[in-house]
Amino acid sequence: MSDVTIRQLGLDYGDTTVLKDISFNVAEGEFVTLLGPSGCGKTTTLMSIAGLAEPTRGSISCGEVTLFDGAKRINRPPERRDCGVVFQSYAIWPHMSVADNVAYPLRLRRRPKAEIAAAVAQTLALVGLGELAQRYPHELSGGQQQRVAMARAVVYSPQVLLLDEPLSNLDAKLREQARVWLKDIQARLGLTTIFVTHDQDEALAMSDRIVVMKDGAIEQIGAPEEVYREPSSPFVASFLGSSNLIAGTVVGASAGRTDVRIGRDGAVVSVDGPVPAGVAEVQLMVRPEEVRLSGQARDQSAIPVRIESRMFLGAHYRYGVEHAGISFFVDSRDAITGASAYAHIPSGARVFDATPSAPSNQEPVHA
Amino acid sequence: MSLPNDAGRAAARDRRWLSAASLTWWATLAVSALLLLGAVLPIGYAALRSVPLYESGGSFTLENYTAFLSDPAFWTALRNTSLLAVLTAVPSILIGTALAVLVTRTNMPGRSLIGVLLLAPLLFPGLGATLGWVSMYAPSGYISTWFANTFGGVPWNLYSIPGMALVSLERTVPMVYLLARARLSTLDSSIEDAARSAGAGPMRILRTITLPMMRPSLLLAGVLISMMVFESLGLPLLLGTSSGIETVSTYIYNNWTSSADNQGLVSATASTLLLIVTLMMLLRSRLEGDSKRFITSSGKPKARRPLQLGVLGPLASALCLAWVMLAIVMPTFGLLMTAFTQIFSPLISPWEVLTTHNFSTVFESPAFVRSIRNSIIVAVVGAIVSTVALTVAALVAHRSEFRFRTALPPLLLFPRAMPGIVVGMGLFWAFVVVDPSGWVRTSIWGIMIAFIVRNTAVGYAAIESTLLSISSELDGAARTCGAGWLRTGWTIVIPLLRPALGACFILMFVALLNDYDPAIFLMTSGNEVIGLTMLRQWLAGFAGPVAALGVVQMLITALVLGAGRLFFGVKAHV
Ligand SMILES: Nc1ncnc2c1ncn2[C@@H]1O[C@H](COP(=O)(O)OP(=O)(O)O)[C@@H](O)[C@H]1O
Ligand SMILES: [Mg+2]
Repeated sequence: MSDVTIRQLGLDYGDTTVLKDISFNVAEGEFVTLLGPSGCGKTTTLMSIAGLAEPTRGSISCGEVTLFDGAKRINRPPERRDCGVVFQSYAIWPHMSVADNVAYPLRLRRRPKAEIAAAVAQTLALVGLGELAQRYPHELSGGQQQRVAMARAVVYSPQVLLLDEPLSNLDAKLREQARVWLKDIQARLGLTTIFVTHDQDEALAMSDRIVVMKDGAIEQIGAPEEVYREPSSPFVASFLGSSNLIAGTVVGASAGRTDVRIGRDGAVVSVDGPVPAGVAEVQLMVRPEEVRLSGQARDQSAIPVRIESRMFLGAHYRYGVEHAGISFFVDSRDAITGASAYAHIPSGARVFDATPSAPSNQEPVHA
Repeated sequence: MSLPNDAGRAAARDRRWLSAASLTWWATLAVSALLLLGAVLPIGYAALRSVPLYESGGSFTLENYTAFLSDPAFWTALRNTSLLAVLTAVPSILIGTALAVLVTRTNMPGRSLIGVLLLAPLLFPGLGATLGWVSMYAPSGYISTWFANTFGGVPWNLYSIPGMALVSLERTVPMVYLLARARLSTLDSSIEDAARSAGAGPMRILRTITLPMMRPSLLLAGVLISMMVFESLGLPLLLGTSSGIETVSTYIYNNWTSSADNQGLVSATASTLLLIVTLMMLLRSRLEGDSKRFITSSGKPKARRPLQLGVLGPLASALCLAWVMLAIVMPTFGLLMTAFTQIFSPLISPWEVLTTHNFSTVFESPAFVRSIRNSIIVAVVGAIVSTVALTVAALVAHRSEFRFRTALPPLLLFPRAMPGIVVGMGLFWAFVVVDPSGWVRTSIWGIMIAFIVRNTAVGYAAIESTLLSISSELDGAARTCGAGWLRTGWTIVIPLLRPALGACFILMFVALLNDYDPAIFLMTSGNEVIGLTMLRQWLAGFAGPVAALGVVQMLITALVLGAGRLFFGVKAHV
């Protein structure tokens, strides 16, 4: 096992830039997830590491070994990178049995027959396919195929494990089980793992760290809790979990606190953290479950809202509420009847600069 | 689990594989380029030399070009060819499109059977079918004689430009039919439904909606037919010679055979023919791009409601069956009867003159037997060699990191556009230069190379279409597991390609067995092949043995295609 370092990695297809000079690293044994909407360059990044896509510039190294370096014209062929890859389509060879699929990498390495048989049996047992060794891929369900792909990728103890949306072809129930199972295997083998997904729940549940990507660039890198609680941009905030982005204007700042008026003529809420001088238009980011909703105003920070909709989601209700022409969502366990209520926006809400010319890759206004 | 020592060994082994892989890539590019350029460059060079390439001395000159450009016979030939192209293209497009619309878009009775019968001529690409037409419709042919006796005259004459166009229909109508059918299958029939609900009758819908939307593929068909006409040598040679009609290809052929002094002029004319056909091919690629952009289909084709022909239905079936009868059944019957009778004429009952004499002539003549044997050797060995080579080429072109891989497909597909006599002449000059002993040029292997070069596109297309449908993640997975490029190809991609390799073999076999015009400049006594022997014998006036050879050729083709259909699901038209 080794760590993986990616520096200034860029990739162009003709005139379109698919990767915009991204950098990140993965520590030994770490589980890092590349998360982003489809088309943002996750697969391209993963395949660049595996050697199946050729970047235009930058470098990739694994431990001491340079896998790719645009400046030094180093590009190790995929077969010499020692990566285990699980493809989105699983890419199980249809003309070979399950056992032959898994044995293939070991046969290439000319291991003794007995050793191969033992390793294949052990790995198939690990992924829970011990009895299906002689089956052919078309006789397997989607979940079983995914396990074969996983077994084939880990059987030769690669330096790095690369997983491209391995769970996206499974149905919802199976996917939840597979998450636990996959994370368990990774932890047991202690493999350095890069996992690609567009599913935020998967990313939050499984990762040591998450790399959030958008349009070929990295938006934020951090532990799941950090990325969820302290998103660095409105994009990250809305991509991970549900969040409200409430437009407002700065009406005052003092002692590291900022007063924001909701909409054009709404109530003023006071939040922690400063804004740079000169910033007037902002967005308040607050998650529905962080807002409290009550029939009565509990303190002065409560703002009166009109209830527009109510949905029962099992564990709680989700209310659509409106204040000063701005609509947002609030989660509450309480069934509130009536057309109006009070919302309490916590002072920990984050403030993003929303000046129209601000670059899309917004810096958080406070740390 | 993995020892450092083990990893080091694996790396060393992979480096060796890597160099073997890049060696393969370069070799593939070199061979493809050599064969294509070998067929093209020598013609250009010979056209610019004052003496033939096998003689020493000489200088560069443009005289060969001025010689044929100032020859009125060339201009007549060019006019004839253009006229023939138009006279072939227009009726082919009309008939082929009408058949495609009737079979795929209407409720004509018997449409699925007719749809199958229409493609039968594509199974037998040799000269036999042409002989069948002649045996029926030539002035002394069976149907012509019967017609003249009954009605006192025959309104058609095969030994004329319209007559040649008529015989060409046998090849071109199925081609247009296929193109039009493919086009129709991409058109959304809800557009027609919309017109119908607006109150338009079936004929009006065809005229105002369906046909206009097919225009791009009909233009494409026109270009393809013109290319075929310009390339075609056998047909104008057999039908035009007696009435002194020359096309560009027969002009080249006649000048080559009439005198050894004409070789510069012949090369100059051939290079011009190549230029004309290449321009047509460029036009064709443009049109193909256009017609792809024209596709209106919205995902899955919907269940079609066929146009209701009503009382016209049986009439349409009758017309289609008449076409099948006159253009497919009669000529095939004519070929069989020519082979199995002493004389095939309505004046004598054929059952009284039945004979196997033509076949015994064929099997007792060493030259005929040799040509059958040679053709089979060329077809078997050539199909094996080209299947192997084209597989490697397709893998390099689509599944490698080779820098120049995109250069390969055009190199392999271009020869299809080259007239057979041009390929043959180019390789003739190439062999003259490379192998002065003349061994390759006069052996069947020279002919095999020429046939393979001419037909690569047929086999390549069969492999390529399957290869592109195999997910590249499958070989990507093998590469990341540690297999080099060669091993990945051998253990993963080729096993998955197996049905396509079978198809490539079968299609190449059929193409190589039936081809003849590239061999014209290469054939000597000893390396005869069936197709060319038939052409020569026919020109010399021996129709019976030619028909017998044609039947033999058809039988072998049918056997191989049948086996292909059985084992690999091969269709004769890719
Ligand atoms: N071979 C290619 N040629 C041109 N563009 C490509 C190619 N492969 C991928 N792309 C583009 O690169 C972008 C990133 O693709 P990908 O890495 O597959 O996204 P993701 O895996 O995040 O969904 C997409 O916009 C896609 O259209
Ligand atoms: Mg992807």
